[in-house]
Amino acid sequence: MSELTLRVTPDWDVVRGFWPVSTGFFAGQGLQEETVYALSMIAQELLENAVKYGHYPDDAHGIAVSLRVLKSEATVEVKSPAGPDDAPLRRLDDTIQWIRGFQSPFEAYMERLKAVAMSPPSGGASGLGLVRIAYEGQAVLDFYINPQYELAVSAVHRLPDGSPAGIPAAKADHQPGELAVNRA
Amino acid sequence: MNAAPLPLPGTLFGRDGRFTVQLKFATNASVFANFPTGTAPPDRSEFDGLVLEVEDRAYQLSRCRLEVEEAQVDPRLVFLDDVYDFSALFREHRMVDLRRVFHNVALVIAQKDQVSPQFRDYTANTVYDLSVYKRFFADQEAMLRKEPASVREAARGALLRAQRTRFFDFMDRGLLGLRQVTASFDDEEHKRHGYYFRRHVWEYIQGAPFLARTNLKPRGYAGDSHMMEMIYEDAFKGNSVFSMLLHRHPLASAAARAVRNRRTMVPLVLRRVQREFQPLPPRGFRFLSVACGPAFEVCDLLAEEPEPEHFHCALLDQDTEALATARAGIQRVQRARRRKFSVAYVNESVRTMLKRADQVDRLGRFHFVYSMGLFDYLTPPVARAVAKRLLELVVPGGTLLIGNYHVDNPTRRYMEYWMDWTLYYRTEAELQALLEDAEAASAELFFEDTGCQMFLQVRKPG
Repeated sequence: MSELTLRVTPDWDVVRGFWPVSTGFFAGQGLQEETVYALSMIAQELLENAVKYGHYPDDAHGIAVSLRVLKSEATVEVKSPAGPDDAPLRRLDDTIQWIRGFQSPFEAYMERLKAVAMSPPSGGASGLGLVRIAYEGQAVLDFYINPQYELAVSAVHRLPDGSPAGIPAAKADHQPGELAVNRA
Repeated sequence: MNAAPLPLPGTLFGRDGRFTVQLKFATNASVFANFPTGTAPPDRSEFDGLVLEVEDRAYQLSRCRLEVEEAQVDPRLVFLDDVYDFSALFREHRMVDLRRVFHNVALVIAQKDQVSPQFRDYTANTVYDLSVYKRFFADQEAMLRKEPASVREAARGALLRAQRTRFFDFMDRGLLGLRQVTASFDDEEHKRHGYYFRRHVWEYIQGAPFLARTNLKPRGYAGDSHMMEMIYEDAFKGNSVFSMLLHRHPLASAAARAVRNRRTMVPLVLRRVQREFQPLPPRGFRFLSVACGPAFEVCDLLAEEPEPEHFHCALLDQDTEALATARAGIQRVQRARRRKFSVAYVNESVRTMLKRADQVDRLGRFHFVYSMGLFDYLTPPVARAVAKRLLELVVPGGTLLIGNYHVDNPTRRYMEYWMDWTLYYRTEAELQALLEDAEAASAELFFEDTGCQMFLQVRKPG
């Protein structure tokens, strides 16, 4: 297994700067270009969600990102502090179960596009980001809350047979200081 | 009742000039136009467009026509090129152009370009064969239409008995063909072809209650307690003989038999664990079912156990309807046995229950914790966290039992293509890996009789 675990500041510029980190890591595992893109897109979407919906009362609270590659699957997991309100978690639970209710994420994607067309979001969540992870990222979404009150959202992308496995992780091509990203 | 929405100001324009209007909500797709500054143009006047002012925004709507109606004070405006949702506009001040929905049609149609020719042939043949079967059964039933109800029912029963084997063989051959034609597909291809296939057989799916429910998922997820009831019941349901057969066929599949098998297997394991802790006082043997569903196996246990007072049972599910079904079933057994059982119902999602550090204080610890039909939906990061937490709820020497469908489930493609029902399948190693870091006195993996479903049984050190 190859794994990269980082702590990220909940800041839009930092999140945007994460792209080369994730592409560097996944490319270093010998994955195909389109898989690297899909997994990096997933990391980006999950990080953006974490910044948008995370609860950051002070600087001590940040985001933890974990990128893992196994023989048959790659996983992106993002943990962010959950707020005291349970309602967003129930909505997330419903949305993820709804997306996973379709064998083909394309169907979920079309349904969500239709819903957005019928009722354009006015500042609220459209849910398209999560559907994009399932459809374009070909990943299975899931989440849980840990006793530290962190929301851990993960996306598991099945790798095709014959994908390289167990290759040691390449060093991420980034400077932690520049990105305000710190290795855990 | 909703109050009538306030009128909105607007301007009609066309070759006859510009007209200031006050627009009132009429129907979802039309408005009434009042002309406050002059006479209204004649009936059936056409305009190039309408500019509507909503709060600080102006929206231009397309070509429309005035229609005078006797019963109405103001003429109605109907739109000739587009369909607008005036309910959203007047009540919520949201502009919705239903045309946008149709922008996606091309995207859906383009899906078929990525469907393999062999699969298209397979689908076409399947649809043709199904239509032939449906027609033959419909013809038979049409002949019975004027018969008395009792005759009709008897004849339907005869048809079902006589044709069941033939129809099931036909479906089994079709599923074998499905496995063959999709054998080389990767995950993404399965999803794409499944979508294409269901578009074609949708008419048949809708008629068969079980298939309709797995596809429509009225509670937001597959495998709800009503689907489980259908599987346990394993009976003919539907409005026609054809639909009844199509409903019943998946209930005879290996995966459905595996669900029925676990109903008898769980009480057996429970009793084995119970024996290890004897003697215990009344309510002394505590067990927990996680994602309990209708909990039929608990009803069976309480109905058959000579001394059910020895049990304390906790049933946890995120679905209140599932818990209500479980409660009703257990109450039926209580009434029948004239005894009172110790049962706690916990309405909670496993995904959010992990946040509570006081879970042991709240629920207590259990001699036996089991979960069937849950881990098939949890990805590895979540499954590991849930399994670890469940083991914490087990008393020393107690047992945790986790079920998961195996990657080689022979019903897998049937479930995915026909039922739109996907599971998170695992190999033996992947299931064992969920608790590889846990402290366990023993860990055993076994299968039920169909081989579809495996179970990880972990005994906590005493």
